[in-house]
Amino acid sequence: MKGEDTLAVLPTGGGKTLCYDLPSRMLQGLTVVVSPLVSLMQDQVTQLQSQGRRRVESLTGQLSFQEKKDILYRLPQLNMLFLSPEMLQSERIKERLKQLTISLFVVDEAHCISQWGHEFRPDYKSLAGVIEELHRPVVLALTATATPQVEADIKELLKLNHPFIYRRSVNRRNIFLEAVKVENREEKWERLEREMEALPKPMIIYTGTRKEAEEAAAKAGRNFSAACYHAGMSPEERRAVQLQFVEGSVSVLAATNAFGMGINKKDIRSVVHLYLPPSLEQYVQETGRAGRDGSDSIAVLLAGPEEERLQMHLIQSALPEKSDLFRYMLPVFQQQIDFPHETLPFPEVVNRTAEHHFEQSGLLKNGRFQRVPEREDIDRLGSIYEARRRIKLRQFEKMLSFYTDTECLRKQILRYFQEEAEAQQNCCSVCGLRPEIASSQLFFSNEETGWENRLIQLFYPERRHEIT
Amino acid sequence: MDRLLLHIFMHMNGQRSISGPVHILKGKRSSQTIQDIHLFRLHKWAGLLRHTSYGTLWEQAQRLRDQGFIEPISSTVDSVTQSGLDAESVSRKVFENVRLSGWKYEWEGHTDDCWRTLNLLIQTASHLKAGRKQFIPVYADTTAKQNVRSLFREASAEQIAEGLYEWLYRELLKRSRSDAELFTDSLSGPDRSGKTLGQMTSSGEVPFHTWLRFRSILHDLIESGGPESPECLNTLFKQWKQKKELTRSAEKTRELFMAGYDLQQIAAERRLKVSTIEDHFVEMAASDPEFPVDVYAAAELQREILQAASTSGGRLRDIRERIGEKADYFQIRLVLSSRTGKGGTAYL
Repeated sequence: MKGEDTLAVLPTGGGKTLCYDLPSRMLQGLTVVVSPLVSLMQDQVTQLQSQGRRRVESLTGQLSFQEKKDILYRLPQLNMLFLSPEMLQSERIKERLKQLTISLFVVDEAHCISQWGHEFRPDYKSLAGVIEELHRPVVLALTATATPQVEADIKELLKLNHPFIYRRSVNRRNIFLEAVKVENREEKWERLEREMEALPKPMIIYTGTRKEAEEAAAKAGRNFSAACYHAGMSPEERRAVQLQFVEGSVSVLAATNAFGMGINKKDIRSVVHLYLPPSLEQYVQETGRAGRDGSDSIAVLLAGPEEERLQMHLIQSALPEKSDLFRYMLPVFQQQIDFPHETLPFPEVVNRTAEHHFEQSGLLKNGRFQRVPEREDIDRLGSIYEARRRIKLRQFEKMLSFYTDTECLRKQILRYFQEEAEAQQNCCSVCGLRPEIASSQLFFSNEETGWENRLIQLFYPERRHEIT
Repeated sequence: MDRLLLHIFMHMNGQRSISGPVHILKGKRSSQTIQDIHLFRLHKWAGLLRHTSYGTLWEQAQRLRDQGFIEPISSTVDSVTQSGLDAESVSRKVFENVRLSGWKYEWEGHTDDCWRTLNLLIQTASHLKAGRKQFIPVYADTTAKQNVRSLFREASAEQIAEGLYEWLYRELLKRSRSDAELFTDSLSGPDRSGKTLGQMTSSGEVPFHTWLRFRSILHDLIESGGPESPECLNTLFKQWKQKKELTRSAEKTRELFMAGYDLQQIAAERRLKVSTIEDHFVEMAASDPEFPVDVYAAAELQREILQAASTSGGRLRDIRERIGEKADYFQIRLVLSSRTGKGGTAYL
């Protein structure tokens, strides 16, 4: 607010949006928010709009040409604009932004700029240049988790100007941590069934695959109101399940890691992991969804060799090997003059890494190859993926030692983020026994009988006492 | 879902391969598929599974082969086996009894627009009336959000709620209790949010059949739109019932066309001159990007006409002279209007 650059590390929830919503209302000019999570961004916009903030819009690749044009046209009237990073690669959009006064430039999920972060987005590396082009507004960088190394990267790569650093501890004292090493799948599921009875509700069960999410929901559904959530469901179904979980009519939610971002539910009492997240950062984020109201909660990790293999496989296959690049990338490159996003058989993040790398090395300019790429170019690119894979493997090793070591779980997490540990009661399964934790008060739906009453309740909610 | 493929396939008189029903359900914009829809009177199912991926649809087709329900006769024709006939008879009643208007309301995505708009509209009105201004909205795309926003600009929550209540009450009363409850359970209000279809499937019912019932309710709701529905929704219903604006007479022609009549039959039915109906067709082609132009002029001919049009300044007589006997004036006008109409059409 004093016009200083700021880096805020705010673990899980706790008004990240507020950090820029409030200033944006008080400042003259436009607040630009860059975020990599398109769906989350749209939710944020919807939510702000539903609070009466009409001058908020988002600009993403998912919009139609006409929709983008409309928003660009309205730009001078806007107060806040959410953008996905690749939108800032567009000269047209940058030109329009340059003509306006940008009072605040917010970089959400700022850890994405660092290759040491658990999610790395190559597009983020160009942000410093963009900020410069937009007459260097004040920058606010936000992230939920950042090790000191990532923090240093953010400062350097965003070219923050002696930033004010606000850091809240990753330690969530009200969450009891528990790690259980299982021998095999059967043992995991047998244990899960007991935990579903024993652990307090509302509960999230995080699974490694969609199929597991469905299975877990089916099991839980025998005794509780349960649902599952994963990216294979339609957006409509996902939203419906989200609403049910937030209001409390569903008390056990089995989900893949597609669930969680931007979900604001304070009274979650337990989080169970049936898979090993790829990093402690991610684990901390997912368990951190419990107990946001400050009441006692518990996180239980159930995993073993099969879960290790699954995650290892995912990490290995997420990025292409050099041989894949030679086979699939080189021939395409040698035929086309434009960077061929559509024809490559790789995930978008892989393509964008390649594009970014070639832009940096001068081989690619405005999406056009300046000369025909050669084997050596591809080889150098391959080394980047290899380095990235090594970093990911190292991050996963931390996760592995976390759940197999006999050291206090909380201490391990805090050491990873280079924070001081403090002894506490009800710490973790290494330090002591699981405390008794009560479920949150659960939702009781007054199940109306019959559609006629339901219609009255929907359209005349003020008359509800008349329904018998 | 594979049973539905089989059911539709049975109506194609053994003249097609199983890809016929796949394309009809997916709503493929090709003259073959559109002809099939008219020829075999499959309007009910047209475009109904437009959101299902081809991958899934082909899997279902493969399942029919794997179960031995169909077998190939040639590369373009499959036939139904005896066990296929038996299997089809099991779910035939369900498919025959469910009332659907795919060609009218799914083909261009109007059912989705309608459902998303209604769902968000009802949730918003209900929350506002309960004094709650902030809530997590149900899923809605940009179109639905804009619809709802402009509706609230024109009418108050009270007016909207009252209109919707009376209309929905009347419409749901016409249906079975389980249909009515299926619909109301899917709606969201401040006291309880809507259920997903999976959660509403009654015991013993195939989830896909629940989904069909749900679509059927929506189709009938759109159909009921008009003087009986809330006034504030009139504009939207007009859009959903016919996205494009046609003269009243052309609209009648369009309805017959949708019902599977061809040009000559429409002229006979309406006791109008063929040339008048041709005019209507030209009008329809101009306003509807999905109009099956290639049923009346093959792709190659369309290309030639457009080519001729671009070199002769677009005058009909000149074009006709260049093309010669290959195309008549109707074909030329149809092709040109489909290209100049809003949105154009996939003519290549």
